[in-house]
Amino acid sequence: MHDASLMLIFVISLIFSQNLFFSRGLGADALFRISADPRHFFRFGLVMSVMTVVSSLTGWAADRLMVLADVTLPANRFSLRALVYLVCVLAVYAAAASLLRRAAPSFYRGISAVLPAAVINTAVMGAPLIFNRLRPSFMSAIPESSPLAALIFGVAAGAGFLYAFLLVTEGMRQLGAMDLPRSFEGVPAKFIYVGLLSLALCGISSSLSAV
Amino acid sequence: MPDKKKSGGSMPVYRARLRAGMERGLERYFIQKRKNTARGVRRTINFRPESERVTLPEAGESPFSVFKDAAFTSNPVFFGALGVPVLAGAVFTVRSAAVLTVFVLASCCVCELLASAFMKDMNESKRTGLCSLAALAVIAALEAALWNGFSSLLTPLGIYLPMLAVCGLITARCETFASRSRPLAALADAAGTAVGFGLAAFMIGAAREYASSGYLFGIGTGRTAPALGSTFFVFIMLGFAAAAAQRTLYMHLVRRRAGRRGGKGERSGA
Repeated sequence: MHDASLMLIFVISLIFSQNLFFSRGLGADALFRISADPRHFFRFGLVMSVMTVVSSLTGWAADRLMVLADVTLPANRFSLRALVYLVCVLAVYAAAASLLRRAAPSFYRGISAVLPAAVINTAVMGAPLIFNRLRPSFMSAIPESSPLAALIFGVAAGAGFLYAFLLVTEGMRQLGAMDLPRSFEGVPAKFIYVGLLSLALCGISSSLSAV
Repeated sequence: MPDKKKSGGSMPVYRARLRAGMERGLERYFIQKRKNTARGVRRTINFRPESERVTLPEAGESPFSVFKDAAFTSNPVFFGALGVPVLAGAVFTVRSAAVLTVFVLASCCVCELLASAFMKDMNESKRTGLCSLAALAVIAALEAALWNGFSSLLTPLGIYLPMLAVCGLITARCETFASRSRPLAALADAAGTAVGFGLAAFMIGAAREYASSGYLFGIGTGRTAPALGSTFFVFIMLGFAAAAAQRTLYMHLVRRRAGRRGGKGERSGA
């Protein structure tokens, strides 16, 4: 019971107060890049959230394969592990893209503009790496051989990114209609807006932990 | 009587027309405003529309001017918001900033050279994927080579070191510049990108080190502000630094234009 409640709190905090975007800045690169063309915001957020789930699952699968093949990677050196995860994500991406191009060409055309930035970014890469580190503390109730923990983490992280994107999209829309000083137009205003949102969520999470 | 009827009947119509006109005007104003902002953002960020993208450097453009442009006038962090997650997650001291800059320099040089020499004819998806894989391979090789001697420097970087390969810094420069340039210009751009990233990293590292320990290079009061180590501080600090950079660039451009006009005036006067 205790483990389940701990996991539930972890999932909720991953979406809201400990959101990976606001607390660690993951995915900020992708968001700032796509903000040059605000028409793609929601589509991009959706594709990125799906890719976060996919990368968590492929990361889990790669870890299991390495355990079965008796391959051990150094614990503190994350680059080799990240290389394995990136190869897995790119393989899934290539397969899915070629499948979509044939099966649903109109849908593929709609998302093809945002695909490279939505797949290759710090959010998609960071999700399996963080899951690998946090799993023993928060998801010990689920056995390692089950992909359920990776799925829950991926869905929570993806939902968190989508939530962050919606907040930032609305902010960008408001910023676009404001008369800002010339020096603050564009990237500086976005930085400060995201910083203030991050500060607010940081305050909420610290007050929750104090309670 | 007909006048009264006319005026009584036309008032609501007049009001409705006025309101519709105002709404249309407001809507037009907001649409124009949004278009202007989007255009401005596209210009400041390095992901420009196809027509405005960086073209091949002209025959007279020297590698030094490419370097200067990459490092200062279109700094990847201040004008493109590239590499922000790594700055927020890994740069807590000046030393970590220096280590990250070395990694960026190595991976950027290799990837931009590869993109410039072999990836010009590829499509965007393939090029981005291959560039990120190559960058991560370089980072993994460099980490393995340095681990025995410098593990104390590399350990604090944690999961953020491999993220350098996918944080947009390398892939975006390969996509927007290296894949459209000659190898020498690409190398100069890689060096400039690393220097530009290093400037931002050094600034954040110095501020966070001072905030967390109260000292920087042995100078300070010893008072600490641990909250400033959080992510929000990096975003806000980058916002003000980017505004200062934008202002400086704008003043520089204005001065240059004024200088050109003055030169032209002198010539025409002579």
